Amino acid sequence: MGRIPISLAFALLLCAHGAWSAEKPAEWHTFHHDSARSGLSPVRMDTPPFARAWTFDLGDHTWKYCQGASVWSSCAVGASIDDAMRVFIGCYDHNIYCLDAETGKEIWRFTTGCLVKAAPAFAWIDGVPMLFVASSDRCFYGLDARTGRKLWNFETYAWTYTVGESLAGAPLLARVNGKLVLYATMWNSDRRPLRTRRAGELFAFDPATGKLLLRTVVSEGHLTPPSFLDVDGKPMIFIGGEDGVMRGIDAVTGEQVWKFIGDHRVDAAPLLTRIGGQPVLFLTNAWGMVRCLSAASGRSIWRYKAGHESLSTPALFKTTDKYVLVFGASDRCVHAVEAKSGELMWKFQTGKYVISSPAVAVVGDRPVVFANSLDNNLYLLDGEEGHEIMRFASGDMLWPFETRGMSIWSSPSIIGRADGRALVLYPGHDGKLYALTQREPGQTATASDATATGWHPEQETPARHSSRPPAGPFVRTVPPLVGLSLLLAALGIVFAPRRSAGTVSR
Amino acid sequence: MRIDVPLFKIMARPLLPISGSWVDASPFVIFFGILVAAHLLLKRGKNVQFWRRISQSVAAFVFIIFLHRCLCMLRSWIFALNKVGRNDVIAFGHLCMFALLVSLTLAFGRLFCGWLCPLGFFSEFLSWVGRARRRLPRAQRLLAGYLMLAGTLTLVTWFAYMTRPGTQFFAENIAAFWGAFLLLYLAVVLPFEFGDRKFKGARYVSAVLWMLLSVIGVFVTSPWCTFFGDEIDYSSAVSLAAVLSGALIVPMAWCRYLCPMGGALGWIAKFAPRKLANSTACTSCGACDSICPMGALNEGEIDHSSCITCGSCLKTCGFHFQITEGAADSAKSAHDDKEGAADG
Repeated sequence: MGRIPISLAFALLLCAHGAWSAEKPAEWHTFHHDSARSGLSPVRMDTPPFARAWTFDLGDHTWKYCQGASVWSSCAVGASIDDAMRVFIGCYDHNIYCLDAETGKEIWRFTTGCLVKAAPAFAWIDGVPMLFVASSDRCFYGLDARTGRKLWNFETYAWTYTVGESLAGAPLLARVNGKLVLYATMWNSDRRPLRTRRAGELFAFDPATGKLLLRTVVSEGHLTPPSFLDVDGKPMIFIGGEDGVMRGIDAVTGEQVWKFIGDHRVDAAPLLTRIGGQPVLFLTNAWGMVRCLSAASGRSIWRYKAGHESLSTPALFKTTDKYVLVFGASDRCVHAVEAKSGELMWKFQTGKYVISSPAVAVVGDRPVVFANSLDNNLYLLDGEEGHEIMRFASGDMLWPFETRGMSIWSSPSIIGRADGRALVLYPGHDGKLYALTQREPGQTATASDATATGWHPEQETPARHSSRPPAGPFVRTVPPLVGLSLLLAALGIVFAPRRSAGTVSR
Repeated sequence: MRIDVPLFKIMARPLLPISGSWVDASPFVIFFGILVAAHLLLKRGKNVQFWRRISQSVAAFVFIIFLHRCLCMLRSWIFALNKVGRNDVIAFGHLCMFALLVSLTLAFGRLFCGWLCPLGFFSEFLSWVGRARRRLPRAQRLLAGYLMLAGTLTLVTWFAYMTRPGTQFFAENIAAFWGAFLLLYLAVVLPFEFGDRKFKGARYVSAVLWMLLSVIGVFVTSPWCTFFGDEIDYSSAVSLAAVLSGALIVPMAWCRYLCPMGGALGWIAKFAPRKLANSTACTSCGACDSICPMGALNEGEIDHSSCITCGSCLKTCGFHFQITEGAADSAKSAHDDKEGAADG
């Protein structure tokens, strides 16, 4: 595997991103940017986004959430409508918001019947900008993205007294046989006595009308958001599940093409790409195992073990000579591994679990990684070395503690602005959406801006690999020496030679 | 300081997947096999210690190196109850080990602790230092004990400081608090370590607190997460260091005083119909006290909540312990005989 070169197709994909970004502001249409969930933004920045552009307070925090809630907001998406960049974000307060990317002002909001945990998806359908929303009220919605008006909705399961909250996966749009098709997953449960129902299903819709094209039960448990790739002419959907199984599904018929039984549940959408012409899939799971599978057959190509569970959809980018897969894990680290071999390249330690899915862009001529940690910081890391470039601190999370293992947390997205600067959208765990951008010439830093913390291409400041200042030589050496001396002294007393054993005195 | 534990599980996928999922039946089968074999060997009464070491070694190999599923049961069953009716396969996967453990403990006592628990195995292995210390005269014994305690507290505190988590002082560090409390508790216990029965009640408090925290949704870590779950969890690593160093001071200190699993199983074991019992009259010579690694013997009386059914007393002690039906009654009657003889 290590000898197989990265395909020309992937290089062309990157070039296409760059070419596109030169013409119009970069957009981010669905969770992790595209239907393959690459996490790779076409945005190119001259300097890191140190300045806070605006903040939007998501919803009314009082009585709208329970302790340990799994997510405050979905991941934001951004699209240009009528030459104005718009940001769309779902929220725990049941709303989907449309914001002006320049000012952060609310344009419209649409209220669903329950939490909007899944990131929405945007697409132009017959000249109409449409937003597709999956809500935990068991429904999918097609909205006019200009006005927030509902164009259609589809109820996946009728309400009963015993129905539970649904878990929806972020929808995606894919071109199948020349037609755009909307794919999404949803898990419904109904605890009716003797007639309990649990089903994780894959749905396909005509995005213009909401007409159901395909509905198939994939598993009894929760499903990840779907990912899409055309595999040797066969359009395929890839879905992981709570049962630890990754499935390759024919996007037209809904039939399972292959399945791979993993070591623990899969909570994050897989990433699809091509390596050496071969379609491959990268997945993470709750045991911290990251695997590279053949997308055509499900065969395991390599695996890498993080120190703790990973709920993160990986992102893929290119450095000067390698392709790098980057993801977060609950061992507090952002991991970067070589995409062809699975060998660790670097690891950056944050203050807490990195449950988000990283996003990648380019600063100067270097790839950079945006990843937020539950230590309430958004980090910007150098993609080649893992050095910290900047960090942005949000407020404290809304709950006294988080419940690990059953949560999907929000992740950063990167879009372009009309003036050519980038906008990094960071949904904080304090219930706010932060937008960061580059400083204008002559603009001075304020207290609410991000902090430049380490290496930068234009600065020769020392590199830092950890979010905490290193301990001094005294702390590193003296306490262990004292502790060991005390232990040795005690062992000396215990095992000192004696004339007679004697009896135990109490 | 970053902990980079080498990750070493041999099997990274389920051996016997249930319903085509990651839920693996093999830990259940091995668990059941070891405990039933342990019961039969204990009942047979020959070469018990040899077979026990084999059983502990096999269990340590299987659950630390071979299988990737960990022995997490206290936290898992609460999670599993939440899954009943929502995903029955996963609920079964998490519940089956706990259900098996409870039912076997209810039938045969704490076989798990004495024959299977890898943490207990390592603690028992390290306890030779503590046993050597207990043979010293009182003044030297206490001096050595407190010096060890000061040394291990210094090392564990330093380790905890160097690897400390970033936020959430309590919720993120449950296991570390348990480990620190163990070492502080030993400072209180040391002068009374030969009559420590009343101190063992702490493990019931530990078990109840542990479960309460799990019920309210706190992700309670434990000393065995690092090894058995193959997880780099700072709090777990700190508590593991505390547990193993605690065993150097007082034999099996964690199992005696603070293990929440031990507390829960100890309470259940009181109701077991088949357990080790004393079928002969006690002469109060005190020889049996030093045999039991858990200090469950006191002048012929067995503290069944502490007894890990290791069988150390079966051959070594002159009391000729054996497994009997209605053990509690026979032990009681033997004790009554002894008191009657003394009165007479």
